[in-house]
Order: sequence, then C-alpha cells, then structure tokens
Amino acid sequence: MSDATCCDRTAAALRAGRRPAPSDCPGCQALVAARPPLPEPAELDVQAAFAGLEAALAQEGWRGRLRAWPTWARLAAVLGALALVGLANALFAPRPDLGGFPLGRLLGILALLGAGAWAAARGGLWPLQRPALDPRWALGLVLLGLAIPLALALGPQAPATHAACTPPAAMFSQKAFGCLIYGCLCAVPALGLGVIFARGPLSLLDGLLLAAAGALCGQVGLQLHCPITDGTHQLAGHVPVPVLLGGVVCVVLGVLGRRR
Amino acid sequence: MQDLTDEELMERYVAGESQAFAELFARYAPRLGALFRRALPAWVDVQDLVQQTFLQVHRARRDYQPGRPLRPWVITIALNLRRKHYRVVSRATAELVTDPAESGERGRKQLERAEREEALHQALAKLRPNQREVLELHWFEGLPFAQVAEVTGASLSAVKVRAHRAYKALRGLLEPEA
Repeated sequence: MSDATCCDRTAAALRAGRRPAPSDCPGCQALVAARPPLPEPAELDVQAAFAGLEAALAQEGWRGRLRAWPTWARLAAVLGALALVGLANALFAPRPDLGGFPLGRLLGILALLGAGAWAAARGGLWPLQRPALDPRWALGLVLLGLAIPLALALGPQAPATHAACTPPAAMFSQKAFGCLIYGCLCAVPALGLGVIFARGPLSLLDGLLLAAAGALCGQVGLQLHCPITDGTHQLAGHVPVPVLLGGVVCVVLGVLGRRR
Repeated sequence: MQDLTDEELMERYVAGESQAFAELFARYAPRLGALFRRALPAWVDVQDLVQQTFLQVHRARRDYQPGRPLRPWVITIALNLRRKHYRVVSRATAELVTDPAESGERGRKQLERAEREEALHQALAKLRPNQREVLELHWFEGLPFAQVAEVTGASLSAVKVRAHRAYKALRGLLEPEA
C-alpha cells in the first residue's frame, strides 16, 4: 500500500541527488526505477584526493617555486619592478626638464606613487592564510590607482622650464596617445610579476588590485619621462592608464572564467 | 611521524620532509572534507577544494611562523577558498547510504536522522554568512573563540556576539521542526 508521505520523502531525496531509504511501497519503487540516484561515497576518498594533489604539485614548475616565496619577498619583487622602471627612465629616458624640475616635488610624487603601488600590490597578493581583506578596503585600493594620477593631473602643475613642456596644440592627440601607451608599457613589469606571484586563481578584485599596482608603476615611468606639464594632457594621456589596464584585466579574467 | 604534533610536522615539511606533508594531509583531509561538505552538494567539488587547500598550504609554507598553531592557519585557507570560488549552498548532509538489508526500524531511524540533519543545514543556510562561519568554526570544528577570532579576523568580543546571535537564531529556526 502506498504512503503519500514516504513517496514525498523519496521524491525529495531523488531531487536532491541522494539515495532514498529502501521501501516496499510501490510508489517509491516506481520513482526510484524512473530516476535511479547516482551512487555517492559516504566520506572523502583521502587516498584519491592525495593522489590528485600530488599530480597538481608535480605540475607546479618554475612558477610554483616563485609562488612559494614568502609574501614579503613577493611584494618586494613587485616593488623592485617599480624601482627598476623608475631607474631605467631616469637613466635612459629622462624628461628633458629634469634638471629644472623641483626635486622635492618629484621625490614626493614618486613616494606617493610607490606607497600606492605597495598598498595595491599588498591587496592583490593578500595571502590566503590571513582573514580575507574587507572588500571595501580592497575597492578603495583599486580606486587609489585612479585617484592618484587624477590628483596629479588636476592639481597645481610645476612650472614649464623647457620647450618640451609645452608642445604645439596640433600634437595634443599624438602626445596623449603616446603617453597612454608608454604608461601601459611601464606598468607591465609590476603587473606581470604580480600575476606570476599570485598563489591562486585571481578573482576580479585581485586582478584589479594588481592592475592598480601596475598602473601606479606606469605613472612612475610617466612622471620621470614625460615633461608636459599641462593638466589636460595628463588627463588625456596619463589618467586613462589605470582605466585601460583595469579594462584589460576584466576582459582577460572574464574570458578565463568562462573557459573554466 | 604519527607522534609529532601538527606544528612539528609543518616545520619538518618547510624544512623539506615530504612525508610530513603526507601525514598532515591524512590528518586534515577528513575534517576539511566535512567542512566543505556542509556547503557543497557534490563530493567532486569537496575533493577539489581539499586539494586546493593543501596546494595553498604548500605554496604558503614559507609564510608559516614556527610555533604558531597550524589548525587555524589551515582552516583560514580553507574558508577563504570556499568563499572565493564557490557559492555556499545549503544542501543535505552526507548521503544516506543504506544497506538494502537495513530496511525496517534501522532504516527508518537513519532516514529520520538524515531529515534532522537536512533541517539543520537548511537552518544554517538562513543565517548571516559571518554568523554561520563562526558557528561552523566553534561548533563543528571545535575551535575556541580565540582561534575563531584569528581565523575570521574579527575581535574576540565580536566573535562571541556573533556566536550568541547565531545560536539564538538557529534555535528559533529549528524549534518549529521539533
């Protein structure tokens, strides 16, 4: 004789993917026959799990050795990339007005960019063994990557002491585009190292944090290379660097996420 | 190897002893499996997360400070992975795998226990995420409040408040079932 209650329980178990309790009820037996549940282990297969882990460890390779660096060393490497970009620009592609540029202002800007890049990289490489970073703080650090170049563009500018500081108006677009590309290129070392050193699959927020760190590294290159003191040029050519990098990161992570 | 504490095993692993890692895995995998199983419906996802957790333990081994408790360290990684990559879904607990010969009274009791466990996990899913996490760590994992605070990054008083509210809310959700 069928029991509506037992058939309801059987149906609920089958819908949930569980194996229902055996029953003499014809209704329950008909439900099971129509949709046999998949067999599931009662507990984790530890040996199989460890075998899978060993296979993953065997594939770690050179990147695995880098990811195993302590967190302070990974951060130092990303900041080292920023320092190298700065040094390379100062030695091989300095702004023509570097001799006349206020030293205190320059050092202050570089310190601000360095501090911002450190904070953003720290967020992007946040270790999983620490409690998760508050998403509001993380978003704030991402926006810092945009806020600092925006402040530099909108704030008071240094006096123009060289002809290169004020190019002809006809060259505005060319100069702005050139700085955008140059800033993105200078961002690559820090962003690239951040991605290489990341220990796990990057979430969108992690990716944007590393993009912000890279963008601020790009700003270091621009501040040491570009002599144009016009705020409009910086708005058009320097400020879009973090926006472009952030967009690229979103697209790449979106594509990778769909492939998984 | 089995006489060593978790912390001693971790220090040996950092020093290069791979057997220590295998022993740690054998100790922690079942507990981590239970932790993930409460939130994930499929064992394949549970196994994947257990492997991911230990992969992260391996990658982060040089961040481990000798002498610090290992269990909160590993559980923090596990919870961060769960939060990062998977949605927490309230599903039934472990499968009711019954022997066909166990029909009748024993099968009925197994079914009743499974139904009570399902009600518990549905109630857990209705709690706020931070309350559910504190409850899982304190009740299911048996961590003292101080270690729960370390894992979640909240203060000790905040953890105790969340636990109190979580137990109170859980009681309210389960009482109509009783």
